[in-house]
Amino acid sequence: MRSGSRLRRWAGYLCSQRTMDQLIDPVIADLQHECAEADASGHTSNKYVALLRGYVAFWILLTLHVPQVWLIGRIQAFTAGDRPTLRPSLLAAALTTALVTASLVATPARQITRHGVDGAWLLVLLIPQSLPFSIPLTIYSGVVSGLKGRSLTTRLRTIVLIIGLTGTLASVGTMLWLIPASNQAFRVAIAGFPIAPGSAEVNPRSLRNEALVLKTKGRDEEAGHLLFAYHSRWAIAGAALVFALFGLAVATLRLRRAATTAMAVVGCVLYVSYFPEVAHARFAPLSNEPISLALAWLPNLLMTVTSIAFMSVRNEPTRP
Amino acid sequence: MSLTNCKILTVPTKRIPTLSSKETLILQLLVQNGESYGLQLVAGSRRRLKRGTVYVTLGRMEEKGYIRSTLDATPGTTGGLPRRRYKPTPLGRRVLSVWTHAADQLRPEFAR
Repeated sequence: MRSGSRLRRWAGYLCSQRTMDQLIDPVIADLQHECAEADASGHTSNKYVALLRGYVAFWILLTLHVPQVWLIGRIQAFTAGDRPTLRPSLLAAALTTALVTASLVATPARQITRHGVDGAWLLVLLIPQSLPFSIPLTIYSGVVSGLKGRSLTTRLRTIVLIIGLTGTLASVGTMLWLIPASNQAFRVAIAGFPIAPGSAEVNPRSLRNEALVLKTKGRDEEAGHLLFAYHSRWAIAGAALVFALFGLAVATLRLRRAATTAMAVVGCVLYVSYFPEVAHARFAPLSNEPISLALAWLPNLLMTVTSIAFMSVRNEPTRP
Repeated sequence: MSLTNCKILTVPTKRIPTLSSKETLILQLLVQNGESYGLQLVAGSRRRLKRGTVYVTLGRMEEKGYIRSTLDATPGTTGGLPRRRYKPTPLGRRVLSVWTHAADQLRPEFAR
């Protein structure tokens, strides 16, 4: 087998024909040419040097430059084709983030002024707890504002779902590490002395263990409260993907902007208020894990079903 | 807004051709030496071009229309893949000439 043939075959699995023609093949051709020259001169050491230089050039190209060229191509294609989508989308997303964060932070922020504690850092500590709600709502408003009235290509749908998935991963990270740490820091700062973490300040596994212990002690109401809190954390983390899907569905509907906004506001208010309402109800059947799980995931399920129903309605695109 | 203005404002503006330092060097080498292989450009650049990256720049320049490449008709006596030769296009020559002229004009200003 000629030198570099195997490398070329591997690259062929990863690279487009154009990349092969423009970047990979010339490097392999150089490698083969130099090896052949070294062979002809009879110097074995020269051949090894040529091979080494060729391999180094190939791997630098494949690992650094091919991904870079691919990424730049994608970004250029996106910004050229979807610039009209990007601006309203980012604007609406920024506005929603600001509004949702401010409204969710407002209530606990009153405690800061009441306690007379220096507020700037405490306000920062309050922001993470608003993220699991602000992320999905931001994604929703961004998607609807950007895609309303546009014909949805498979590429746009894929991008939206990737954004939703990324939002969900961000929410999971926030829920697992950021919220417990920031909530606890907030409480300690307000109290002014070290205090034990409450149910909102422990990680999900500890929360579930605590719930199960309470259940074995027969304290069903408290166990149910904690068990629902545990499942609703995961459900809220999954909301980013659900809201991205919902946004995609609403964008396909031929509705007036006012109707879309009204639908969004009602949906979001219902979603956000659902979890505290059920949690405060404190009814004993919540200690039953399947019931708790079902109730926590019910809003996501309803929104997914609604999204699928909306998307199955045939709508003619109004703007290409 | 008048219809004429509308039309003028919506006409896509074509980007003015630009040259990076590597592109300038490659064009200079190609204009001096004529048609060359990638490795010859690397050798002639006194280490300013690297064999791992030269084809990225050459590919970009080909897309911009500054150079044109052709595959060697015969892979040579040794077989293997045919090598690619690069030569400047008339646009590439013109851009290089204007670019070099502009740089020469501006150099004294920046030398002060």
